[in-house]
Amino acid sequence: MELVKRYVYAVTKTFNGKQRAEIEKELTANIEEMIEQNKSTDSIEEKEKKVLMELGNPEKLADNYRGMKRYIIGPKYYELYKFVLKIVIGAVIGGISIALLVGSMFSSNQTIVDQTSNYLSALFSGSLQAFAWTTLVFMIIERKNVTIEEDPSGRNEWNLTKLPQLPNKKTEIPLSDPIASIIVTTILFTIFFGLLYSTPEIFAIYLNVGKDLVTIPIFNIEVLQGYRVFIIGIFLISILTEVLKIYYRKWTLKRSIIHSVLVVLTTILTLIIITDINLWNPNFASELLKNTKIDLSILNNIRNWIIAFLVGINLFEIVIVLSKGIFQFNKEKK
Amino acid sequence: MDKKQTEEIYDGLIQELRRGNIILSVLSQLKTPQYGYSLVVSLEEKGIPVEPGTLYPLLRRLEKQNILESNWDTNTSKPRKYYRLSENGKNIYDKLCNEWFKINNNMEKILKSQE
Repeated sequence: MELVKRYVYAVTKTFNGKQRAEIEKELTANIEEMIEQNKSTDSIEEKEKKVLMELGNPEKLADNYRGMKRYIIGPKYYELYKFVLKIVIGAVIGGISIALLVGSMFSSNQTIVDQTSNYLSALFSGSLQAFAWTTLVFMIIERKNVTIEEDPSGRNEWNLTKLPQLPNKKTEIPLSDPIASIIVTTILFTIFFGLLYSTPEIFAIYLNVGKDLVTIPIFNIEVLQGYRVFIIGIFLISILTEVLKIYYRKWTLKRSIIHSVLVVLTTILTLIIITDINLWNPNFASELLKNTKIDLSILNNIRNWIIAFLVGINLFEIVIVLSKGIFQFNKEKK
Repeated sequence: MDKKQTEEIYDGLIQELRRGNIILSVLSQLKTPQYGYSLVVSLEEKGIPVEPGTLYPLLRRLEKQNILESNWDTNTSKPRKYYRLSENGKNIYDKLCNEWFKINNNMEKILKSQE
């Protein structure tokens, strides 16, 4: 019975709760019946094996019970997935190369061998991360879509009005736009993250005071490093919005709203980090004053300027995207 | 195209042809209650073999669609899940039968007129 139990488990393991119990009970009963009906002189084990072979691959049987195949990334998104994966991994490799090159210029106490092995291991783990995160984003897209298609009310039934509008310059999303964004975002993020962990002291202001080189750190590095989950989150959401744009190719009201929500989300996450007082080196202003006689009580304002700039840019994008969505909505209503 | 490929394509077409008839054959046997394996056997005897791996999930699906109803017989030493046509299923089966005869009729005409 060991084999039978393992077979039944292989079929039912992807089901839950009541459904699982039912399939388990029924399938076991059927298998036992099939074994019993085999009146040949074979041993029980032989009969078991024959029956299970007749039933075939348990994964296929599970698919039959489910009525559909399950994918991590289905055929609908697979091409897009490969495409984005290439871009992201390419950008990560480029970003790491730049980051470590810049980093090596500031820390000369490492041998070439050390630097090369650091570079290679960073490339490896970076590509792996890029692969994992991209796959995760697409898994989410895949899952989200599955629920849309399973809409039982029939509201999503196709009719002629659902045919897409012919491309309109105003609402079309040029492919170059999201691709450029993905590349730039990934490179910048990789450089930033690479430096944050390899040579965090680089985030500083360098001053020539007399003959000495004075460095004044801008951030409290430990606090900044503590925000890594947030930073990765911001990165992921940014990539997600761009991937969605490649998928959309055209703005509609609904899409522009989703896009805006995602932009707001990244803005909020960024603001949470920036507005954390502990993030900034508390001695920055006093050290700068000591070394340069520049009074940086205005420096406090710099943070506010960054915030205003960030909010302004994102607000601008939301307004533009929403207006495109509304334009398309009005056009479809006519 | 080599011989093996042609055979594979042919097999695929045959399967396709049979697949459409499986449900109707299954429904035809369920005016009286049957359990999974007995149905496999009776269909096989009647020259319409259906793989158990196809049939068992199909029965569940038809039950969910309210075409079949089921109950567990626990009187015997081995519990068995019996399926039979529901009222709704009987209606659908009759309609499907009519449809099938129509298709069969027309197909015969088409195929024979080619000879």
